[in-house]
Amino acid sequence: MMDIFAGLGHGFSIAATPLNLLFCLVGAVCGTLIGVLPGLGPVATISLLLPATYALDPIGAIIMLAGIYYGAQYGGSTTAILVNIPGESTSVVTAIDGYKMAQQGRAGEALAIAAIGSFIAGCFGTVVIALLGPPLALMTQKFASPDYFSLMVLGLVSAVVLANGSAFRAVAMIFLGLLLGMVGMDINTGEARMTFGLIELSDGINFVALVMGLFGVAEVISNLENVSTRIVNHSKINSIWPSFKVLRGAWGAVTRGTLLGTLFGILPGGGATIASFSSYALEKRVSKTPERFGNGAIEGVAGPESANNAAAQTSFVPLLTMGIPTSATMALLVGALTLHGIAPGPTIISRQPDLFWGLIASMFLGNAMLVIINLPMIGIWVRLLNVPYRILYLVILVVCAIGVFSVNNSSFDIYMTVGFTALGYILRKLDAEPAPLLMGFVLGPMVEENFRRSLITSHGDPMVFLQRPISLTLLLLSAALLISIVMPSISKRRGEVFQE
Amino acid sequence: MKRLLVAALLMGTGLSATTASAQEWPTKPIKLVVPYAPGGYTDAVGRITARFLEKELGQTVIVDNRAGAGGIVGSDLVSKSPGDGYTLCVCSVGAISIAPVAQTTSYDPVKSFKPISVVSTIPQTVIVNPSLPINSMEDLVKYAKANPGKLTYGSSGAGGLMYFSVALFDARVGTKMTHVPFKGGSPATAAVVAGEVNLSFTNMTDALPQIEANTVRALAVTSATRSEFTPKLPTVAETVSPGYAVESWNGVMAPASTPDAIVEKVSAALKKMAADPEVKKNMAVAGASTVFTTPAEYTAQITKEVEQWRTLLKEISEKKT
Amino acid sequence: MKSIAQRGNSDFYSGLLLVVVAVVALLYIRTLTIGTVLEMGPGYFPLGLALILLGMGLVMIVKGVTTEGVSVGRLHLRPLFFVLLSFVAFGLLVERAGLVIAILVQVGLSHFASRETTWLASAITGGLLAIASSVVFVWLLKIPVSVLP
Repeated sequence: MMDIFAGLGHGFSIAATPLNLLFCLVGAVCGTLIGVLPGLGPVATISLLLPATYALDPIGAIIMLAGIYYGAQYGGSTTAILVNIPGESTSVVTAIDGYKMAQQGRAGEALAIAAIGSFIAGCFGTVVIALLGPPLALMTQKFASPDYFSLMVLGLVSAVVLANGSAFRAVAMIFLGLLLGMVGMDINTGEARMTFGLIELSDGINFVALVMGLFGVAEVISNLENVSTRIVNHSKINSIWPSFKVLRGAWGAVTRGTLLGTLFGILPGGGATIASFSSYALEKRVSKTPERFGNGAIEGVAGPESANNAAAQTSFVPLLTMGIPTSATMALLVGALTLHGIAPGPTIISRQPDLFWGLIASMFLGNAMLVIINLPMIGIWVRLLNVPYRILYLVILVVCAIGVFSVNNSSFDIYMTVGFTALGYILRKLDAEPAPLLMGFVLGPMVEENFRRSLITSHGDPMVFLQRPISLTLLLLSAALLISIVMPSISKRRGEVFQE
Repeated sequence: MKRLLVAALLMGTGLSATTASAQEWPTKPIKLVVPYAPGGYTDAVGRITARFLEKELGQTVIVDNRAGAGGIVGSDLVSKSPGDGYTLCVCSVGAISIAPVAQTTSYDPVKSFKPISVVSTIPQTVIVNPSLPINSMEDLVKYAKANPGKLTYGSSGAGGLMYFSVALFDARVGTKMTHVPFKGGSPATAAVVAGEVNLSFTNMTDALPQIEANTVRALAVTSATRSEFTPKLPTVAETVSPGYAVESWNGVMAPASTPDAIVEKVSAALKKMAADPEVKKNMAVAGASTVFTTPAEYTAQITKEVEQWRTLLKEISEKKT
Repeated sequence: MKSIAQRGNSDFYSGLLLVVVAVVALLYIRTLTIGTVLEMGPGYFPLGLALILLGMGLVMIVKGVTTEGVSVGRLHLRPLFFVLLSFVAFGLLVERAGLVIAILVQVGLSHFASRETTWLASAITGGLLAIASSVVFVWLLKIPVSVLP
C-alpha cells in the first residue's frame, strides 16, 4: 500500500512539472475538440498527431496522447447529445436519451451530467489502475474465448433492452447488424465474404462510415424534412445547470455506470462498448419508470457516459501492466512509446516507474482539467444550437464528410456513408431503431471469432461454454435478462387477448 | 488525326517532363504510403524512414496510412500510382510475398513495383506457454509428433506470416498442429501468455517484452541467422529444420514505371540511412534490424520468397486432396 | 412535397427490407463453404444469420399484410437526394481537386437540400468552412489531402 502512495507521490512530482502540465492540458483540450468534431475519433487524431510528439520527451508525449484519448471521451458525448452523432460506439447509447433531452431544451443538463459523471468515473477508474492494476490484469488473463463469447451474448441481449418499440423489431435489427458485421475477410480461412468483390470491404464495413450514415447524416435529412419538430425550445435552453433533484436522480446511475465501466473496460475488444450498452440496459431495468427511457431520461445519459469514461481509464490496465494493447487506440499508444524508445511489456512498472506513475498522476490532473474546461464550455455548446439550422446543417455535413474520409484517407468510405445514410433514412421511416443494429454490428465479428475459436481450442467440445465458471455465469445472466425482457411482453400480449 | 497529334504532343511533353523531373526530383512533398494502420510495427518503420528521407532529400515526406486487407489495399494503391517518385511505399512481406500467392491480388509482386531496398528485418520467435514441458525445438517436435493435432498455435489470421511460418514448419518437420487464428499478432501473443493457445511464431517486437518478463518461453528464432536481440536463442534452421528461414521485412518500393534515376537517388539515401546510428537505435527499439539491399538483391529476395510460399501452398493443397 | 408511399404499413416494408437484404446476402454466401457446427466454414455464421433474418422478414410481412399497423412516414426526396449527392461529390473531388473545392461543391449541392437556405449565408458558411477545415485538418492535423488542386 505504501508503495502505491510513494508511487503516486512520485507520479505527481513528474506530472505536475509545468511542461508536463502543459502537455496534459494540450492533450485534454485537443481531445475535447476532436471528440466534438464528428467522425474524427481519438484513433485518427492520435495517429495524426503522433509525428508532432517526436520532439517531446516520451513521458510528456504519452501524457499528451493519453489526454487526447480520454479527453475525446468527454467531447464525444457533446455531438451525440447536441446533434445525435455518436463519434464512437461507446457514445451511441448516450445519443438515445441525450439527444431527446437536447430537443426538449435540456441540452445543458445532459452535457453537465455527462461531464460530471465522466469526471467521477474517470477518477475512480484511475484509482483502480493505481491500486489494482496488476491483479486485475491477471484476472483478464483468466478470460478465454468461451468467456468472451458469453460476454458478447450478454451484450447482445442487453441491446434488446435498448429498444423502445417492439422487442421483435429490435431483435431483427440486431440480426441485421450481425450480418453487416460479417462482411469482410474471414480470419479463419482468409476468404472474402459478401464483399461484392471490393477489396476496400475486405476489412469489413468501416464503423465510422456506418455510424455517420445511420445516425448523423440521416438525422440531418430528417431534420430538414420536419421544419417544425426540430426547433428547440429557446426559453428553456438557458437552464444549463441541472437542479439538485436531477443530480440526485442521476447519482445512482453514475455509480452503477462507473462500476460497470471499470470492470468491463479492462477486458479487451468490446469491453467499453458493452459497458456503455449494458449500463443503459441496467438503468432501464432498475428504473421504476422505464417508459422515460428513450424520451429524455437523465439516467440514460449519466450511466453510459460514466461507464465509458471509467472504461477508457481502465482499458490502460492491460497495456500498462502486461504490455498488451486491447484496442486500436492502445495499439497506437504502443506505437508512440516504441517510437520514443520504450517497448511496453510486463516489466513496464518496474523498469519505467516514471512513465507508469507519471501517466497515472496525469490522468487525475487531466480529468480535473477536463471537467473544469468542459463545464463552462457547455454554455457555448448549447448556444451552438441557436445557430440557424440552415447554416448548422451545412457545417455538420462537411465535418462528417472530412471525418469519414480521414479514418482511412479513403473516398470509398464516403460512398459507404452515402449508402448507410439511405439505409438509416429508410429505417427512420419504418420506425426501426438503429442502436440495436449498431450493437449487432460491433459485436457480430467478435461473437463469431470467439465462438469458432472456443470450438477449435476445446477440440470441438461445445460443452466448453457451460464448463467454464465465467462463461456459465455470463450465460446465466444473459438468460435471466432475456426472460425479464420476454415475460412482460408475453403477459402484455395475454392481457391484450383477454381484452379482445 | 487531330486526336493522335494531341496524344503525341501530350506524350512528348509528358516524357520530357519525367526526365527533367527525375533529375531535379524531389521538387514537391513525397507521399510515403504505409499500407497498415498507424501504431503498428510497419508504421513505426515507415515513420522512421520518412523522418530520415525528409532530412536527406530536403523535401517533406508525408506518411500516408492506407490500411486494409493485410496491406493489400495500400500496396495496390502504390502499384497503380504514377511512377514520378512522389509516391513510394514502405511495403511488407505479407502483402508482397505472401498475398499474391495465397490470394488474388491485382498486382504482381515483382512486375508491378520497383523494389528499392529492404530497410528493416525482424525475425519471428517461437514462443510457448511456460506451463508446457517443452524447453527446446527438439522437445517441441517430439511433443507435437507424440500428440498430433493437440498442440494449438495462435496466428494473426489465415494468410498472414504467423500462420504461414508454422505451416511451413509443419510441412518441413512433419508435425501437425492446430491453427487458432486471432485478429492480429498482439492478441495471438497474449493468448500464448494466458495459455489459451500453446505456442506461436510471434514477431520479435511483440515477443521480446514477454520473453524478458518470463511470461513465455522462447525456443528459437525463425531467421536464417541468430538475432542480435536474443543471441542465445538458436535458429530453427540450426536445430530441427535445416534451411528453414522466415523473416518479416519492410522495404521501400516504388511503382513499376518509376525512372531509374529516381530509384538510384532513393537507394543512395536508404544506404545512408542503414548506416545512421540513430535510425539503428530507433529500429532496435521496435525489435527490428536495420538493413540495406540493392534494388537487384531486393527483387531476387522477393522472387525467392514467392517461390517458397507457392511450393508450400501446393504441398498443403495436395495433402488435403 | 408529395408523399410517395401511402399504401402498406411499416411492418410490411420493414419485413420487405429484411427479406431483400437476406436474399442479397444469401446470393453472396452461396459460394462459401458452410461446414458443420464443430467445424465451421466461413459461410456458417453468415448463412445462419441470413436465414434468421429472412424468417423474421417473412413474419413481419405476414403481420403487415394481416394487421393494420402504423403507416410509413412520408418520404421527402429533396433533402435525401441533395445531401447524398453532395457526399458523392465530396468523395469524388477531395483527392482530385483538393479540399477547398470539394467543400465548396458539397456546400453548394447541399444548399438545395433545404428550402430555408439563402445563397449569401450558404456562400459565407462554405467559404469559412473551407478556410477553417484547411487550417484544422490539413495544416494542424496534417491529413494527406491537398488544399487546392
